[in-house]
Order: sequence, then C-alpha cells, then structure tokens
Amino acid sequence: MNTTEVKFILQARRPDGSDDAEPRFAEALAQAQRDPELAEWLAREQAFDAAVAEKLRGVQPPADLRAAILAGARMSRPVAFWRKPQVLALAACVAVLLAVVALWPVARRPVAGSTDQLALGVMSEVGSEAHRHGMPQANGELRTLLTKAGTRLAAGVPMEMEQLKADGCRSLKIGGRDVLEVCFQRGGTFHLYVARRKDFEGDAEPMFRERGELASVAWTDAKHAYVLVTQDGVQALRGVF
Amino acid sequence: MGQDAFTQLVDAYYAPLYRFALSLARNPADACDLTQQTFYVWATKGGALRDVTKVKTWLFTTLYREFLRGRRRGARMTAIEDLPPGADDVAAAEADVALNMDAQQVVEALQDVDDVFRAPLTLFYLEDLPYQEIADMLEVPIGTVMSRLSRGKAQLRAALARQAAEGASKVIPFPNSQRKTS
Repeated sequence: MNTTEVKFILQARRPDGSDDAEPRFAEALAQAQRDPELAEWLAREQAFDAAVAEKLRGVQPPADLRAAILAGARMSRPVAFWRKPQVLALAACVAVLLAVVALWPVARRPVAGSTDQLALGVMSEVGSEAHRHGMPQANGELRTLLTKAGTRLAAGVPMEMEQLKADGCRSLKIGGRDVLEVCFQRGGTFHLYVARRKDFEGDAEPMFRERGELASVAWTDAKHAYVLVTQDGVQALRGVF
Repeated sequence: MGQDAFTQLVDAYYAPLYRFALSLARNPADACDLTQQTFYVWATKGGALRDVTKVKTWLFTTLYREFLRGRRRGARMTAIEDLPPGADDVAAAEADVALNMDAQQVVEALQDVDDVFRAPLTLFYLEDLPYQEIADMLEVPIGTVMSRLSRGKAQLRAALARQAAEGASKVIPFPNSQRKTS
C-alpha cells in the first residue's frame, strides 16, 4: 500500500475511531504508525475532522422543531383501519344484522323433522333400559280410548297435547322437539308416541317398519304425528291400528 | 408504535437528522421541513419496518430521499467527471481554522460543498452511520463513498479557507474625514 492509498483510506477514518476494526483501516493505520511523515499527516487530518465534527454537533435545531414534529406526526398518523369511522360503521351494521338474524323467531325455530326420524327415535327409546323401568301408563279418557277394543288409532287421538299430558303421558325430547309417550295393553304391549304435526312432517299414509324385535307404524293427522311401537310384531300393530 | 415510543424516537434522532438536513438544504427552514417530513413518513409508513435496528438508517435514508425528491434532480448536481481533483495535503492551520469558527460558519462552509459530496461528508462528520449503511443509503459502493468523501473534504477545506480569508478582510476602513477648513 503506497502513501497515496494510505491517505485515501485514512482520510475516511472517522474521528471517533469506529472504523479502526475494519481490516483496510487497521492496515493503513499500522502503516501510518511506522511512517513519521504519514503519522504527522494523520494527526493533522484527525484534528481537522474532530474540529469539524465538534462544530457540526454544536448545531442546535430550532427550539420549536421537536414540538412541531410531535404535533405534526400526531395529526397525520394514519388511523388503524379498524378505527376508521367507515369501518366502525360497517362493523356496527354487521353486528345489528347478526343480532336481528339471531333473534328472528323463524330463524330460531328448528327445521321440522320427519316422521321417519320420529319413528327411529322412539324405537331407540323403547329399546332403552330407562324406558323398560318406567313405562308411563294412561289414565282417564286416554286410557279408555286406548284400551277400548274397537278403537283404531289410524284415526288419531282426538286430544290436545296438554290433555294427553294430564292423562298420564310422559314428556320427552326427540330431535329437540316435544314428544309424549304412553304405554298400554290390548292383546299385547304397545307404546304410543304423539308429537305436534308441525314438528314432524310426513305423509298421512302409515309407514310400517321392523327393527330387531320392534315393529312400528308412523302416520300423521291434521294436528299430530304418531308412532306406535310394539315388540309383538306387525300383526299386533295392525290389530290396534 | 405508541406515542411514547414515537416521542423517544424523535428525541433520539431529530437533532442529527436536522444537522444532516441543514447541510443538504442550505437553510434552516427547509431543514426543518425535511426533518418533519422524515418523521411524517415514519409515522405513516414506519410500521412496515420489521428490523428495529435499522430505524436510524431508515430515517437518514428517508430524509435524503425526500431531499432528492424535493428538488430538481440534476440541476444542481455536479457530474462526477467534471469534478476537480482532491487536495493532496492539509495545511496544518486548517484544524485551527475550523476550531476558531462558530458552528454556523462551519455549516455554511459545508453548504458550499457540491451536493454529490455533501451528503457523505455530513454523514461522515455526524458519525451516526457505518460506511456500509451510508453506501446503501446513497446507493453507491463503499469505495465511491470514500472517494466522494476525499473530494468533499478538499472542497470543505477550500470553503473554510475562503471564509477565514473573508473574515480577515472584513476590516472596516476608517472613514476619510474631510475636515472643513474655514
């Protein structure tokens, strides 16, 4: 490295010595220390740089600049997108819409099930231990109706739900809907389930089905959906249906 | 960034940024505008900076770009090939010259340096950024930064010498009084 190269590098050496660790500066510095003429030049150069740096650091910004920066930035800082009035208004509209939908009576009402679902549900119920240990028995007008030899259940049960409950029916839920249950004897053991028509859609035509030991028939009339279940076979069902 | 953090950022950097801006813009009003504009850009876009260690470089770079954007580029730029060669040696008295001047005079001398050399020269004296970051900021190689620094120093010495000479020549002549004789 010749003298011109050493000077070229060292004139860029910052007065605070922060560049000294870099190899090119370290090498140039070492060479300057071995050469008295270069060392003298470097001392003058560093004195000049230190003087200019000191003067430059002495320049003070105007007294009001800091306050102006802070105030200006505060005024111009972008509002987070979720804090913008338009976004807040839109969010409020969406919230209101969701609330309306959530509270809308029709929307809250469960979609009607089918009599098929009702039939499968009650057959599971009849097969359960809980049912075998607590079969509700009819009384009053309902008992008379069910045990009367000539009664054909295909015509339905001409009683309101509340009256059926009063006459011994047990209330249970199938598919989230109210279903009444009553058991009776008439040449066999039968389990009758009654639900509101609007809760279970299906044909008025009776649907017979068998599953394991159980046989069932499902049908509807104007007000109710019915399922009649027995362990005595389809023929027994037809005897009371 | 919260208000407290922003205030801390301003406190840490607004003075060196102003000094850099003053050397570029040549007058305090424009320097204030540049400094404010830099923090405005930070307030609106600084959140996108993921590496917090680069904040200082980001601010100086933004100020420099704002300076370049705010003027007619090329009109006052000195073409590299037209530059005079740098001075070979430094007169022993130059450090004393600088020391005997006030800060304003040194800044004025700095402002006489051609634009293309002034930015690296000021950043060199502010001692705030490593060479690599100065090079990145100016979008030139480190060797070019050092070359511009060498030539900028030469121009600064010349400007300081002129100022010193002008100061020395500012002797108010004793007015010739014409005595009226009766």
